[in-house]
Amino acid sequence: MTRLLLLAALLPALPAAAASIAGKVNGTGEASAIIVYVEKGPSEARAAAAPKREVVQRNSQFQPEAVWVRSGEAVDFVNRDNIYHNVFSPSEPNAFDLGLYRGGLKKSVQMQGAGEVDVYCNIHPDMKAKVLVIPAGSRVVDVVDGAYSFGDLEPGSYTLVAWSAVHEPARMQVDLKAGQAAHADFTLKPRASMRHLNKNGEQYGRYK
Amino acid sequence: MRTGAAIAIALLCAPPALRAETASSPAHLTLMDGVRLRFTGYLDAGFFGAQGDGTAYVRDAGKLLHPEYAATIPWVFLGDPWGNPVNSQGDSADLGLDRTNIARFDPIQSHGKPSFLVNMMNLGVAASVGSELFFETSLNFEPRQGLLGSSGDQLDIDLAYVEYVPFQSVDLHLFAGKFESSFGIEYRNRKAPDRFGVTPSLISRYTVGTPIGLKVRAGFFGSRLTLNVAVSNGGTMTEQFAHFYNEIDSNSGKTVTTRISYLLPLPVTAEIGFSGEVGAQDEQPSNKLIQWLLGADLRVAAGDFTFRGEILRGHADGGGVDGAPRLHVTGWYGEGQYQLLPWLGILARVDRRKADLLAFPNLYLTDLLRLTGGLRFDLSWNLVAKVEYLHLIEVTGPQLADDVFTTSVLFKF
Repeated sequence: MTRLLLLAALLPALPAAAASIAGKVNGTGEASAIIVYVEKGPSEARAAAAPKREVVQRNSQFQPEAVWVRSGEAVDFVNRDNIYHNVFSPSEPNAFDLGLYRGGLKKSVQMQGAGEVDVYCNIHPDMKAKVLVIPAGSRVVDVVDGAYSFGDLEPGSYTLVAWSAVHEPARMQVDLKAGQAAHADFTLKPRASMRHLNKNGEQYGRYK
Repeated sequence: MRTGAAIAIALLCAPPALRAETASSPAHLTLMDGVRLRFTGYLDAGFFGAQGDGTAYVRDAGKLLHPEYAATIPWVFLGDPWGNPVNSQGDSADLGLDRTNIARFDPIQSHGKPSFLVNMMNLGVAASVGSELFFETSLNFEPRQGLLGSSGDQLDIDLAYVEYVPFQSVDLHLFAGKFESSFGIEYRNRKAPDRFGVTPSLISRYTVGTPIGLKVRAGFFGSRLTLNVAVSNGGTMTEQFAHFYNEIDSNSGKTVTTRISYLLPLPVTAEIGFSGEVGAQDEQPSNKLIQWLLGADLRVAAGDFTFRGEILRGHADGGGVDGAPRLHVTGWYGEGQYQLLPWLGILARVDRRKADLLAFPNLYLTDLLRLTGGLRFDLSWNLVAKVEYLHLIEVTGPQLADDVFTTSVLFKF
């Protein structure tokens, strides 16, 4: 009897039957790291904090060319070249300008609003990177061998986004029921290559 | 006052990155109707010393070495008058006595004495309207001592162009005005702030001129393949002992300059390019006299090491009713740059130039090999110091004492 009472007391604390979403991501064109993240959904709070992100300036390139952080987290920009670089972004609401700094120095930017942040160097127009700022608490998985999987999800309505630096982001809505193993495949299209301006909103001038 | 002090203390106490972000401010002025205006510039000053009398050529007196010209050419000179430059624009330590009847400017006249020198004061203005239209001009000022009532000072607008970029997603740029060269790669580094070392290559006099006309630059395959085509009054030559360029054309024939380059799909940055230029010879009235240049270039950047090299062949018919100068030239250079530390860079360059330049009554015969070593000190982004030593080897003809030691201190903004 005591055992039954104990079991009855524990029952409300058990979660609803966990569900999952898995699928494939087909990205045509240039190879690039692809992630899938939960833009909206009931499980957002389950996500662990991401490690601090670092983008290195090496050989006059940003490496990696794409990283993601959650809103409120910081990205370090470390100049590993022996020459000066500038780091700036015109992307609101995360526009910033770290100024010119020499090799061996690091500067950080705390990203605030969700969205894509285009990152450039004001003196080397070929240097480009993207920082994806996802909503705080969102879950993210890497696409490995063209596949992704979210497990241990609560039932509810999810908006998933497949994202990479070289593809147009693709969104998909999934209504997940308790215990369901849902399937959602993405097909990504290459991004159109867009020219960018310097931090003053001008052409780079004779430096080409 | 208290509020200001509080803000200052808050800024000082903030972490470095936050300070950097907070300190950023627009580097341009915004004028009426949204025109953005930006000023740039630099001051390049230095100290140099040249061997001998400061010149890098000598007269073949009595045509002892070249008797074949005894009956046809009044003056024969051996060496390269511009082979011993002391600054980024290639000014020779001394051009020697003016034996020519060709108007020229001897900007330094050091007579072989070591000297301080303000190489260049430059002011640049850039203006843009929206993201499609861009204007840039660059004003060079060389303070030089005058002679016989002449001020000596040189003022030159070396760039004044409008750039139109019609499409957001297509790498297409249209230029009109006086714009950068389309030949080779040295033009990218012709100005002191952009040049790793102090002095230009021996063939820069053919490639870095800024012609007046129209230019199209287009990138394909993600800008891996780039094509430049320019139609201009004169070409890209800046040879000073005999003029092969015009700002205002002296004939109806225009000069076409083109370069095609490809960024090789390698783990390092490797760009290979081919350039050509052809047109009616400048500074003379006939359309039938032709001058041309052909060249190839290579740029490889791997880590802190960069190699740049160019090879060039050129020709100008010469003659005609004005007795225009004639030129045959081949030349090349290979330059290695190594940024050893964030504040220390090392330069090594080998140049070769072989030419005969007839600017009647003078004939300049050149077969020069030049070795250059240099150091670069990046004291800050705005302040750079460079030192360089140039060793000249006359491959044929008499050996001259014409080595150069030169320095440059550069403030840029």
